[in-house]
Amino acid sequence: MSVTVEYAAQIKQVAGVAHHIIELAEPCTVAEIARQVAANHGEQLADILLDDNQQPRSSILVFVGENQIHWDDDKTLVQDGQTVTLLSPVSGG
Amino acid sequence: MPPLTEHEKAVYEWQMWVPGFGEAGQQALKNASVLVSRIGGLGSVVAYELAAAGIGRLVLAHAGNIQPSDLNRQLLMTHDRLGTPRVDSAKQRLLELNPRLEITTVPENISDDNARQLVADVDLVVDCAPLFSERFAMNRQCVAQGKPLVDCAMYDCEFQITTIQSPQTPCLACLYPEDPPAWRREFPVFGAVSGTVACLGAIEVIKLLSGLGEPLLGTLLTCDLRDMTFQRRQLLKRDDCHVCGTTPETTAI
Repeated sequence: MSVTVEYAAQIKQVAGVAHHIIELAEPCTVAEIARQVAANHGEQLADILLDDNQQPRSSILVFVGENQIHWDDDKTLVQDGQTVTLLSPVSGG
Repeated sequence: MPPLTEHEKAVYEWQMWVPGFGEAGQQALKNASVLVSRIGGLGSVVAYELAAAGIGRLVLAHAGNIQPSDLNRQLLMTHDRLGTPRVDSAKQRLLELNPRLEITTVPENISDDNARQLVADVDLVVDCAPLFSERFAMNRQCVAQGKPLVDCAMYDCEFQITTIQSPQTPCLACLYPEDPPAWRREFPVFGAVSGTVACLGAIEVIKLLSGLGEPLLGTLLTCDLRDMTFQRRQLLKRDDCHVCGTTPETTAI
C-alpha cells in the first residue's frame, strides 16, 4: 500500500520536496510513518521530525486527510491511498 | 460607546450593506477593543484593516524601533521614521486613516508580566507575535479570561490561521505542548504573504465581534501561496493540555 506524506514550512524546506510517496506493508500509525520518513529521507529530516528518543516531536502537527491526529494515537491506522500532512510550527513577525 | 454618527454611517456605508452585518454590526465594531500583539508584517495590516473597518479601540503592543528589515512587510512603518518607535509610527498612520479611532500604544512585547492586564483591557486578541513565549502568555490569559484569540502565522509563502475560543476549541498549548525547539524568530517571508493572512485575521475579528459568518473555531486554515493551495483542517483538543485540559495549571487573572 502507498501513502502520500505532505510537508509544510520548515519541514518542506528541509525535505527539499513538497511530498514523498511511501510504501507500507500494512496500515500503521502516524508515529510509525514519521519514523519511516525519518529513516529513508535524510538526517536533517529525521532531526526535525524526531527527538533524541526517536519519538515524533510534539510541536509538529500531523493530519490524516483534513483531521488532526495526536502522535500518541495508536488506534488510528493510516490506510492505503490516504494523505498524511506534517506541519511544522510557524509564527508571526 | 455612543450610537453611530451620521458621518460614521457615511464612512461605513458600503460594509453596512453586507447582509448579516448592517448597522448593528458596525455598532458592535465601534463598541469593541482589540489587542494586536506586535504590529509587524501581520499586525500592521490587521490593525490597518480594523482601523478602516471602524473598530472603536486598538491596543498595539510592540517593543523597539523601526529597522530597515521591517520595511518589506510592516506597512505601518515608513522610511522617514527609521530608528523611531514602531508604535509611534503605527499610531500616526492609523489616525491618518481613521481619526476617530482610540489607540493605546504599549512599547513592549507581550510577556507573562503584562499579558494579564493587557488581555483584561480588551474584548479580543490577535496574535501576530514571532516568539512562542509571547504567544503562550497570550493564550494562557485568553483561556483564563474567556477571550477569543485569533492566531496568525506564516513562513516563506505559507500561512496558517485559526481562532481559539476556550473551552469550545483547542487552545495554542493543545497544538504546541512545549516551545518548539526548531523555531527561529527570523525567517523568510514576503510582505504580500503576511498581508494576506493579516486580512484573513482582520475579517475573523470582524466576524467574531459582529456575529457575521462562521469563524475558524477549531479549524486551521493553511495555505501555500506558491501554488494557491488552501485547506481547512480540523484541530483536536488535548485532555491533558496544561492550559485548558481537565487538570490545567493555575493561571492568575
